[in-house]
Amino acid sequence: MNPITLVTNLLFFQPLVNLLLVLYAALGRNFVLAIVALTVLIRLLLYPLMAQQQRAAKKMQELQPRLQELQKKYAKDREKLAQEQMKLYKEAGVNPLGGCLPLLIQFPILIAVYQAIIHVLALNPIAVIDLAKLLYRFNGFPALATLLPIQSQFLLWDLGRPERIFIPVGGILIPLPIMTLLVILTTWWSQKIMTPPSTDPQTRMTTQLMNLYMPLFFGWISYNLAVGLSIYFIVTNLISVVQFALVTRDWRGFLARRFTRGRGMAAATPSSSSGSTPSVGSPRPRRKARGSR
Amino acid sequence: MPPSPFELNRGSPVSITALEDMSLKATTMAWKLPGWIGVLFALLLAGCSGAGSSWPGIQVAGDVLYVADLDHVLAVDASSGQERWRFPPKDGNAGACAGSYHAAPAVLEGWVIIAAENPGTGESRLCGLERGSGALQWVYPPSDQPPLGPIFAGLITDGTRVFVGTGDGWVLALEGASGRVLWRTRLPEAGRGAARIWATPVLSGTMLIVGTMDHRLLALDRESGALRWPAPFQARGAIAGALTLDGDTLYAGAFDDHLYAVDPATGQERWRFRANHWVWDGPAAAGDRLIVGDMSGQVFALDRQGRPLWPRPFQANGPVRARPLVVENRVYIADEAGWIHLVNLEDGAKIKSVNLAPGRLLAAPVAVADRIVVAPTGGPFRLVAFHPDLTEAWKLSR
Repeated sequence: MNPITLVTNLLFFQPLVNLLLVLYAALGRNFVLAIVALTVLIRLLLYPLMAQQQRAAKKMQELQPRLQELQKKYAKDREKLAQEQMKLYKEAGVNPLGGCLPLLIQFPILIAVYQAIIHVLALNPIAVIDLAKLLYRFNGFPALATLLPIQSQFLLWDLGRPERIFIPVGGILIPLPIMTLLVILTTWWSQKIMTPPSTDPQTRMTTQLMNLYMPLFFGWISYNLAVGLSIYFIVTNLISVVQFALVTRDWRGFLARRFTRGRGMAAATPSSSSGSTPSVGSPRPRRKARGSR
Repeated sequence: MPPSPFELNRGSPVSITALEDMSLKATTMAWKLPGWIGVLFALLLAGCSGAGSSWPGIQVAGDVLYVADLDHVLAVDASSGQERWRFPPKDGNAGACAGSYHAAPAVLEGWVIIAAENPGTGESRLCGLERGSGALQWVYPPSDQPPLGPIFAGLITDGTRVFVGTGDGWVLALEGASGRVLWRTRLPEAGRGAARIWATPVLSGTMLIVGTMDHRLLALDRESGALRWPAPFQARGAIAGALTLDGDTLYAGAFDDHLYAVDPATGQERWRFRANHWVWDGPAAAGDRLIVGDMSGQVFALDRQGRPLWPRPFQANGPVRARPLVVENRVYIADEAGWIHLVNLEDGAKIKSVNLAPGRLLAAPVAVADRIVVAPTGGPFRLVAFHPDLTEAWKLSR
């Protein structure tokens, strides 16, 4: 095993695998609860990073109208425009790169969590061979190994297998991918809520495409991989939404407002940016006041 | 606290236009990043699932090796290493039997029965091949019926029938020549997703004995599939490896670090031996002794009461998953690090070791036609054959 893999396993992967099994034992051998608990614990550990990212996203949302004004005002003087933008960023305390680092740090953790779930579910013999090397042994006794195999049945689903539920309709079996649909829905919802709006048409189009195909892509992944992974995706998405609301202190009515973002974006076009429609780009005095307390 | 990019650039000779471009690009990138990270993440997840799920399954009949190795099933002449046929054929279509192949085939008079797994879903079908040519003769279940669960356990036969245990707790008996199902039994508790069968079962008199991942041994009537023992034998760890039946004793390794000796007629425990780590495959039985390895890489020689015979266990270079092979007074031990060791049966002293890394040796070595043959998992070779003194005889590339 190469040194990088060894260190990664020792510091991230192995503790995660064992923690997942301990949670499974502690939560009445319910693997769904164990995945939920692990996801919550990880999100708590990552809270400072996530909060920083989400605050940056929020501030960028709030700066959009002012940035747009600057772009219009200094359309012919790029140097002045840049100076004013910098000034604006500095005044607002926004770091344009603030969103990147937390995401990059989360990335290996996401992979490790996925791997931990798959390894603990022990879908196949090779996975169990690898698992054997990861489990902690207490006083030489394989306490955690006796928990294997994981009770993988959850309602209609075997968490260790892809979702294959069919309903007969007129003599034909129609697939009913409930978990996959939940993954698509929650991914779309969390992306919709957390993706900052943009006044740049190209960025906006990219964002809209991303908001469409990323949920579908994760849905495709979920349909083809173990249902346990779908649980993780769903819980992660829901926690992300709740955390975003906590960080931005934006509980009241945020559902309705976010779901009407399409109209909000339209309202952010130059012809209507000063209109009365409360677009997401418009700074809201009430929230600003609350945030400054 | 790290300085912000603005502080870094204070007083810098970099032009403000360049700064603006950098800033705008960085901002744009920051908002696009979650999506691209998602794509990368999803691709990695998809990629992670593409690895093989088990090791090759080998069966020997006469001087021919039948090997189920990931993308093909091959019939190979053991003396020369020449390939006799492969399934799917190079220019042929496997139809409903396309997929990956892991479970050791069952070889009957005129048939080779294999399990084909859909690597994406783990679902499997059984396929009957003509033994001389490898031509596909039948498929069960047919392509218009739902497939079976994953099949990792080796297929076994009594000459005319084939018995198979599935990863979702079903045991089936089929007629080898036609693929007609004679009976199928779902094990108790299989509905909870725990009674997976990965262990190659054994036939004992009128019974078929299966080990399950939920720590049990169960006996089924080989004619009807009905449960036979009053209660299953219960270990504390998963029983995942091939069972060993020798004389009137059944041996099973478990993930609770024990090797169990069980009365096959009643399912009562006779004795147990505590190893140093998980015991996967049952032992090799040779005369008055049993040779068994564990996942810490230790290999033990035990007498028929489970008492150690060697002065100290043999220590391999990696986990020993597979049942060792005993030929006369020599023991061949394959380990996960890719080593095959030749050890003296009497005292466990090492005679020679050969490394086949990067291949991992997870499948048990077999003896055929004066050759010792191993099937590495990964690496450039499907099969490597040795003379009894571990000098190389031939290799078959992937």
